[in-house]
Amino acid sequence: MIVIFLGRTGIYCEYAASFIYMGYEDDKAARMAAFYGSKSKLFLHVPVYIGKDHKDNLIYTLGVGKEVDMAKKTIEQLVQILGFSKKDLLVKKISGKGEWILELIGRFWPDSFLKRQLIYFLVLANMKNIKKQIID
Amino acid sequence: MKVIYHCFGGSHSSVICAALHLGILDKGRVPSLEELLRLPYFDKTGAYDFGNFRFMGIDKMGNEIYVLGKKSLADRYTLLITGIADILGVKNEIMALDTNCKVNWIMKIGGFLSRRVGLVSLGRFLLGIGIKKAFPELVLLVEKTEKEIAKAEKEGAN
Repeated sequence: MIVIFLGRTGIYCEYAASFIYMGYEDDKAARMAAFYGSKSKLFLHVPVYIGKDHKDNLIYTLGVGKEVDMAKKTIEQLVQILGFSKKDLLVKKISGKGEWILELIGRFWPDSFLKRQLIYFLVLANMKNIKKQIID
Repeated sequence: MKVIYHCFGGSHSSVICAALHLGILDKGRVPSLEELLRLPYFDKTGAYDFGNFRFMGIDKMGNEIYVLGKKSLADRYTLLITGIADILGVKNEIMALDTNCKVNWIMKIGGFLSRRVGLVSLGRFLLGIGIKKAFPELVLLVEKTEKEIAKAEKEGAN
């Protein structure tokens, strides 16, 4: 099965969700999200492969800007049109509080230790919310 | 193959391209507004239709033709659709075309007035003018698409 964590940027909260889903601890997931996120492009609109979980499910993230609900609807319908089902590809919407701050940081702040630290704390603050969205 | 024409609202240029592809509209002449209004979905969509695929028909080669409204996401939606098809392993079974690039300002204003503001008569009047100007470009897009499909299917057969 393919699992896509879908959100605005596709890189911070979505990366954290992927790492949590793959079994990493909160702190480690937030650190990795901050590290890889600071080196990634926002709003790629293309699924980014993250890895496999313990059940060999393929994990992806996808950033689509503000029209997350619309994109989720499109992807779910596209899966059916192509002859697949939710058992083949599952889309999980991931959002975080203060995501606009992460977005601004991602857009305008060059990669630095301070940037990654700030992203780490912002993602960690959202971890409870992210985990709830993974389960839902 | 699944062919998806997508534009802002999935209501005007994408529907026209799909109709041209299916042979419902004649490529050789500009359709009248009455003919366009007889097309399914033409200037009849609402906010709830964004992101929804709408089936238009099957062409002579057996390809399924769909239209889709994607707001202002432009060609990024082509990336999204082909990206999903790619990870499912069926990238060759889909072709997504952004028809928004062929839409002129008159069509945009007409579509906005009709669908968003509710000034349907004025909006459709402007749409008629805009479509007349944009029609040759839409025909070219469809012809190019048909050639690409034929080429892809030939390569798939070999």
